[in-house]
Amino acid sequence: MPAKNNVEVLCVNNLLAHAMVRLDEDSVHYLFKQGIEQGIDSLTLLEEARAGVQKVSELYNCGKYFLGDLIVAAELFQDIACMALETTMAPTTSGLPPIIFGTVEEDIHDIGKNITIGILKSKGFEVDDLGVDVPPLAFVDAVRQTGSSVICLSGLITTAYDSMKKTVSLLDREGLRPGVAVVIGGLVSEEVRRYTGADYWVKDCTTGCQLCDAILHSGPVKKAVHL
Amino acid sequence: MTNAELLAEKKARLAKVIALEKPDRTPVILMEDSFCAVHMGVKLSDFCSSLKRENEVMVSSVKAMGPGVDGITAPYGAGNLFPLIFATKVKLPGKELPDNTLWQLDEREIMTVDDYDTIIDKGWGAFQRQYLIEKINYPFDSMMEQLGHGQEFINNFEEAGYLVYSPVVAATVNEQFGGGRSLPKFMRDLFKIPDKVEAALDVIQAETVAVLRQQIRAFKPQVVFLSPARGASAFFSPKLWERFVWKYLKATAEVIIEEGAAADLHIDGDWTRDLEYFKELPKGKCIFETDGTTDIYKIKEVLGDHMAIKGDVSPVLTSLGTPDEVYAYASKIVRDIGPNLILSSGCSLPPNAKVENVKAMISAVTGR
Repeated sequence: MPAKNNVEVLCVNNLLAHAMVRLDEDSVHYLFKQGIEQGIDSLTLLEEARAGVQKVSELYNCGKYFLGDLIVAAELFQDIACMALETTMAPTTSGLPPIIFGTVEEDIHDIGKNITIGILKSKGFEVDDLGVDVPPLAFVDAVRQTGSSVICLSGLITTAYDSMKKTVSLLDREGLRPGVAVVIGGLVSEEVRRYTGADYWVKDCTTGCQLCDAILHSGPVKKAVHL
Repeated sequence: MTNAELLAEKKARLAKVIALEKPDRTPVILMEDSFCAVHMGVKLSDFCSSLKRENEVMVSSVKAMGPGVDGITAPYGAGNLFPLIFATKVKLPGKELPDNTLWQLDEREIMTVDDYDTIIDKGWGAFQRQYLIEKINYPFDSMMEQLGHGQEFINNFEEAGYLVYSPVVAATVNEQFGGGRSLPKFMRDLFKIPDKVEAALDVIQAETVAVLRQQIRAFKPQVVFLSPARGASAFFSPKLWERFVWKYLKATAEVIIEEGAAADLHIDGDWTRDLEYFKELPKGKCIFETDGTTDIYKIKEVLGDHMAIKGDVSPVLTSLGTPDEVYAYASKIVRDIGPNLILSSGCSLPPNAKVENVKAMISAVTGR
């Protein structure tokens, strides 16, 4: 393996972040492999990819990028995270308990869920993805097992509202509700939040990520409305 | 008034709204399928066992809502037909899902990048049939046989005095890849191999439009439903949207209009950025059907003097709201949007919409 030097590190790093922002799949893959060949630590490269996704999120938030761009950025980051896992023990995470995420019972829509999880991971959060059609008890078990303080319930059909409500009720019955912030997303509104007993509702991925970030870093759970 | 006279009156009312003339009252078109099953106490698994069964239940449900309803969007449900539009599996109640769980697209990557080349080389028709049968296990031939009874299904509504708003249904061709490749993979393809994607879409478009012309000539519909389901501006940069959504949406709408029907543009999601583009379509020949995400007042502001508007009582309101809340909202848009409005739900009525809420929506134009 050729010895790395600071100039090469700088070049690859900058190029990788820029390639992520350009959503240039071939360059992202090539630059990661190139970086590894130059002896750059995979976690350093992963952080560069993460910075690229962060920039894409910023561009989305100011209206210059669109949902499709976010989807591609999250996908490319997942590629890099997988490639990094092959070359190291594990990518860095925030050290916080995982965010529990799932599409609720009787609903199998998962595009919004998957995009949000992709962005959360790119921000360094650990996410426990329970999948789709997740029964209330599975959410409760996951909270118990992980000590998580944030649970995200996704649903895109109106029959999901009752599944969300049942999940919140079960958390309550099991005595877990005070320590857990419940976020609902998808086809939701303030009316749905009130109906289900959730704490927050979000309709887009980046707001959902910002909300999880804020909840996890704000200490005690604050009951609030839409961010 | 006979049912035939009632039907003629409803068709004339709808024609006036589409032509941007003043009707005697706002028409009410119910966009519904699963709701009809719940309304009639029929399990969803039974309902979607065949198009014939769907049609029977939907006719019963509309009749139970009373003559104030002008018509229904389609003569049968959507669930069984999703694979024809989205090239992906649909999970059905009683099969992959419990008896009373709503059918849903099971979106995952099934179509491969190599399939783009196959479509370009061999054409869409041959590919689609083989793909749906072999990769998705779709009962393609049975479904074609059932669709062959389309006129009977339409007659069942018309003989009862209700119009079938859009007996012919089409979708923009990008939906085939958004579903078949999965949305994330399709989005990646648009960045990585845009020319190949466009070439394949052009092949599908040419064949789809030829079939659509035949369908319109056979059924002579007043309106054709055209869904660019996931073509919302919120998904795409303007450059990609123009190339992969608007190009096909505009061309298909123009074919519908050229064949003598009006184009019902089924607009889910947020299209606010690109509303001005719709002025490129002929005036008085289209209906902008909003699910409520694109603000109906903004649509009126930009397109109100160019095309009719259909919508948009929200599924949240019909499922969780009260009759008074539904009545208040429906009355408000009838008043504010004016004579260009076709009153309807925002996208389909959900299965758990309350019957009294749907009646309250209808009564916003027929009186309480």
